[in-house]
Amino acid sequence: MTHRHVERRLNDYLGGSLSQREASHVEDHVAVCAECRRTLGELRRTVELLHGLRGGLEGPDLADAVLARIRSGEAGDSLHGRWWAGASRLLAGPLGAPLATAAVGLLLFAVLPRIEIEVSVPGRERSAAFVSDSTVWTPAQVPVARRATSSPLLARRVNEALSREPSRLPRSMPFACPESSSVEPCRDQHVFMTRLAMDNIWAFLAQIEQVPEPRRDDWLSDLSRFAAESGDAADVAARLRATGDPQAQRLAIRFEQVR
Amino acid sequence: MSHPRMAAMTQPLFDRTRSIPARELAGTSDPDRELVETWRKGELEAFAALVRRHQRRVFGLLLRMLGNREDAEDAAQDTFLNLHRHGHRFRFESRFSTFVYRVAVNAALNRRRSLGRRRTQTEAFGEVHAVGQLGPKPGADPEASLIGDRLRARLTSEVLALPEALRAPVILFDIEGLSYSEISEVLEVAEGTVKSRIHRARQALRTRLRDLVAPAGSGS
Repeated sequence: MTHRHVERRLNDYLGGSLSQREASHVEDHVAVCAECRRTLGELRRTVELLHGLRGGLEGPDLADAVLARIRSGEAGDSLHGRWWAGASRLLAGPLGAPLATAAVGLLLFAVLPRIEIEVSVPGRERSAAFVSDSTVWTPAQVPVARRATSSPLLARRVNEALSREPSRLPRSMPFACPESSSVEPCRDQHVFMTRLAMDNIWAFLAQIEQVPEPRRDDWLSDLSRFAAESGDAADVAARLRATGDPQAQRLAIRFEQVR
Repeated sequence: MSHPRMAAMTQPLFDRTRSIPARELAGTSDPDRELVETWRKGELEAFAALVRRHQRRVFGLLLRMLGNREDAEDAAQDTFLNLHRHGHRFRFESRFSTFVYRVAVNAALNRRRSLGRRRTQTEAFGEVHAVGQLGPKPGADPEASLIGDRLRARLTSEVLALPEALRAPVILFDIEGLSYSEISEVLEVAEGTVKSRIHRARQALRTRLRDLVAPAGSGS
């Protein structure tokens, strides 16, 4: 066994993992080699020092903390569970309250306008039955003066309805029937308005805003009577109520009181 | 604090666990077997008992690998959470304690990766002294304790300065007292590689600690 071989076996010799024959070779070489003797002594002392580090470390009791994290779902297999547990721990910390407030604020800011629109079109499929190419308005064609309404909320919603669904607005309407409501054009108008109220109450209100004021009252009487006859008056009233707009509330009363 | 990516990083480790060939435990039964089986039946208190049984060794290993008490405590908690998360895949093909070490070593490696280079040398030096001061036993001679503290701090510092590939084997062998085969399982490398790394680590430490280990008057 050469000097180089012995040098590589010194660790194993210290660890007692050499065979008896190999160990004897190492001992024979070390007895005559000063360098290997010194290396062996230094390695032995190094190992003794490392052994001196054994034990002596007092760690914290982790069981309670670990169990608490397991019970909070943090050790669950699903990524969703771990994210949820992590978020819970974050919210329980000192930054929890500001973070929660900011999150709720953002949520309201993003969702609230959509909720109002949903209220205005509850469960109704959009129908093109009353739209014809010859009777549509594009937003650019809607007179600005007619977009303004008496209520800020109504104004905002009507303008939104006009910009979102221009194809649903008829270009022109007589806004009042002649003597008899049985006249065909008048009936078509009433059917259209009743369906529009079911479909998009804000577009319905936009239409009403366009009726010239001196004739609006008569026109509304005709319309509400037609709605009562067709059994839609209660629905129209409910949708008007749901808008929360004061002007719509007054209109709702007309649809509720008609017989 | 648990890192959200930790589970994803440790998942392959647990998958590979299944490929470890079954080893006879030389006539000895695993002392953790009963607790492990009870825990697997849903008894969380059995798992708590396992945590209490292994926490000291896990914390010690992590403290020596990370050099910082806070990081070691976080990594120790992560170790036991990962054990609970994936422990059903342990099939007594090795000792449970070996499995625990394996998860702990990986938690330490993940922790070091996530810490990156945020820690400065100054911080590390302070942490090493904190590690050294954990050692003295109650009632020990204060002067001797002081010398012991300094020696432990120096040793810990030198071990921490070793390359990562050499550090874990020498800690597991010379400080934690694991066998070559156990370290081979923990680190998932061949026994020959373990021996070679321990040899290189000891040689490196011998050189670094020459002022302590060389015979007086050797002039080295």
